[in-house]
Amino acid sequence: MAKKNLLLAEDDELLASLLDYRLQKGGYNVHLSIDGRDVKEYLKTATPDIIVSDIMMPYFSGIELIDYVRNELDSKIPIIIISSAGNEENVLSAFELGANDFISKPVSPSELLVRVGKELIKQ
Amino acid sequence: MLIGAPKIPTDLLWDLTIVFSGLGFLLFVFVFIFRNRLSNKALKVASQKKILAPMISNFLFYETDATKGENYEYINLKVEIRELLKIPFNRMVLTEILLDLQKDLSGDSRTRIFKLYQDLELHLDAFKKLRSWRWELVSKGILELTQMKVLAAYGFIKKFINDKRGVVRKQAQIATVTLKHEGISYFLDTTRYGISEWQQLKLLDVLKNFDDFTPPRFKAWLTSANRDVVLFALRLIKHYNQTDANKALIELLKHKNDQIKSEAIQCIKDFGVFEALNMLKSVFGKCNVDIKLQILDAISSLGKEEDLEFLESIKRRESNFLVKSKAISSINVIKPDTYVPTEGIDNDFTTNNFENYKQESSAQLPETMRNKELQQEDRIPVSEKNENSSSIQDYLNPEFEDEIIFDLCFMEELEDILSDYKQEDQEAEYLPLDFLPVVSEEYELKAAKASNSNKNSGIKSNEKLEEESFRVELEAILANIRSHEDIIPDEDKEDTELEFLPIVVGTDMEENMEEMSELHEEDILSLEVFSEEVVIDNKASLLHNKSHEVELLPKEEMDNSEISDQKSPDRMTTKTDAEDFDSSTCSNSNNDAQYNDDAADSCADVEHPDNITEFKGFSIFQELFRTCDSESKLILLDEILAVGDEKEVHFLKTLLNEPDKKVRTKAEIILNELQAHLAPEIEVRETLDHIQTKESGDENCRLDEVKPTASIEINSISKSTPEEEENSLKSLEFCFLHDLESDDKSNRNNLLQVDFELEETSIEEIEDNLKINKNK
Repeated sequence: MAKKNLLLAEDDELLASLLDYRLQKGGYNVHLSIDGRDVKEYLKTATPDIIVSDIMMPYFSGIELIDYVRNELDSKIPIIIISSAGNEENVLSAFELGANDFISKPVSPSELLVRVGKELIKQ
Repeated sequence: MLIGAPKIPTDLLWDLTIVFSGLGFLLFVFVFIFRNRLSNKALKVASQKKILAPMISNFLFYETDATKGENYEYINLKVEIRELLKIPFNRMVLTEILLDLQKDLSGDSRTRIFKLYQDLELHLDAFKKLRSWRWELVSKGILELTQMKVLAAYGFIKKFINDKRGVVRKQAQIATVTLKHEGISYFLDTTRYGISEWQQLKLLDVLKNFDDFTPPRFKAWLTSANRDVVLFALRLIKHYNQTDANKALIELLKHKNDQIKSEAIQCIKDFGVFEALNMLKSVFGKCNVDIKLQILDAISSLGKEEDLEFLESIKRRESNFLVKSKAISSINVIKPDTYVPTEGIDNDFTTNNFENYKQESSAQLPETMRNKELQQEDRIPVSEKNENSSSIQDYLNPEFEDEIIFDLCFMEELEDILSDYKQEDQEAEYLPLDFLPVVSEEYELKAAKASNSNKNSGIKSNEKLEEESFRVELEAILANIRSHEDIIPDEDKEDTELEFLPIVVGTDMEENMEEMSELHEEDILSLEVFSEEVVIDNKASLLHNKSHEVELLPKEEMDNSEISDQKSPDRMTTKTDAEDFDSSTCSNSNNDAQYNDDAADSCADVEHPDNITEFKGFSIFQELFRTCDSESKLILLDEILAVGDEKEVHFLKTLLNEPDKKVRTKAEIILNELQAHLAPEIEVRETLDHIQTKESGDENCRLDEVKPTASIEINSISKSTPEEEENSLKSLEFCFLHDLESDDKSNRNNLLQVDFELEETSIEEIEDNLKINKNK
């Protein structure tokens, strides 16, 4: 069975590498982007099966990313948002724009893996 | 002795310059090197993190059931990392990585990080820091060990609880409480320093985040010698709802410290410690206002009716307003409605007064509202009606409350406005308005409005007209609402200013106003719009000089045209219009009647078509003569000679009876001269009349031969059809003569913008032409 493509957008390199490792170990082809511009460039050339994105990112926030994917690309790619605790407003905005799920920091990599799998099954 | 300039030690200055320059350079170099080292270190750390991060990931997510290859890889990594950790820098970087990751990760991964930290013996570095003499390093070491949950460090860290260095002490207090559950007990037992509010909050936050934490009975620390420990213990007791400390709490009411007292009272109130009531009453007298208020608050929630006596005594004795008010409030809490507001209350109000109010207000209400109210009452059962009438709150049903209030306010305002207007009306002298025509129903309102516009003396302004229309509107609305009568102002008031105006049609203002009052609001609104249009078109309408057409018509037709002119609302809006209308009609009639008769006589003249021939022209000088003195009259007589015409002849004849001899004599002279001057014109007119009489027998007969040879340009604004133009050609002389008459008026009023260009010999040429025609 072919591995699913996962776009991981996270500006914290340490956490990103850790999650990248965990997700790859979980059976996904992970494309790691450390800022919004990179994400946008990648989305112009490729279509991942699922996007895992931090809300707070330089140049292009997670909210803008959802808006871009849903309205400009007109895509229904599942999007999971990673947000820090106490950022409920952004989470609500993300859901309004079309985010599928969210996970709050501190992140449990195992939990993230489960959520990604669930979202892909829904699709 | 001369004072010389001080000797400047230039050598010293040079030395100082060199020294400071050197120091500046050294500082620059130091800053440069220091910054470079920092940035280099940051770069090195970042690059090292990139190397170590994947290794850590590998360690973190290693699973025992991994494949052989993965196990091999894991063992190699472990060897590799141990080699790397021999270098302190790498140890530092790895520690940083783990400290960062433990913040971002949760669950199993986080636990693994703690384990890895200790497996790699990184905690030993933290222990070394604890032995440092530098407080910041000690503090960092404590923090690191606390974050990485190194339980073995508990024994080392708790020694710092009473450290004299504040930062270390506070860090140690948090670490002690965090690392072990019994840490809070140890901390409360041993701490000798004060605990700040912020520190208490942080400690409480740590305790809240504990899993499976069984808090100790904090009442044990209520006896602490440390005031802050007692205070913190009280707060913890309240937080964890430990209700086993009632006796201690009661005892703490006697504490000298107000903060402790306050916390104890709060606990007593929250836990419902009824046995504390007596102590609360006992300590009340010695407390400050804030504590007194708290005690009263506690009594209000715990107290019973037997405590009212105490509260009453406080109410009587206490001088402080806040305490007194709180005592009253507490009494009302224990026994509701014991005290009701007394200040600024009007005791006259009773439920019976409400009945009167209801009757009065219903009498004032518009009928529609009363019906609505009655309908509402009809729907309510009798028993409920009685209940409803017993309270204003019930009566002012939210459904109708606003409506009723609005109506009452509206009626008051409306009556005020109308009374103002009526007062003004009474003050003003009204004109006899019965001269205004009501020719058809369509124009009734317009005529009424026009007559209203003529009520006040002088020329009415547009503003006045608007006020009048507004008044009419208001009156009509009121009439509709209240079916009220007699709002029409008195029509019998006299005014002398416009007496000269002819009464064209036998109608009176009263009729108009009665009819008007019957009109609906919509009609009134349309009237308002109409009046606005009239104001705008006033000038244009006046420019339309219909007198030419009138001249040409037979007597009956002329009457009709007069009527139609009078119907025209354009000409009825202002006094100026009416005056113009009047003068034009009167001058067209070419009669010899005296014009200084009263209005009634004039009315009679105009009413009967036969009398129209008797109607005399109106001289502008007549009005001027009324007000001026004898000298002015003599001057005016000279002017009459210069500009006068037939109307002035009539007027001059009336002056022959003037009491002033000078005026009478001069009038006689001027009359003679004017008659002599006008003789040719009269002759021409008679001739034309004769021709016209002849012509009337033969409709097809044209009078082209009598067309004047002189070029006459009549720039009339009136627009006529080709047929009318053809007819008008028959009597251009007539038009001309009439225009000669009206020219003065038009110039005088500056309203009729009719331009004439008349050649000097025109009359003579006309006469010549007439003679030639006669001969023919």
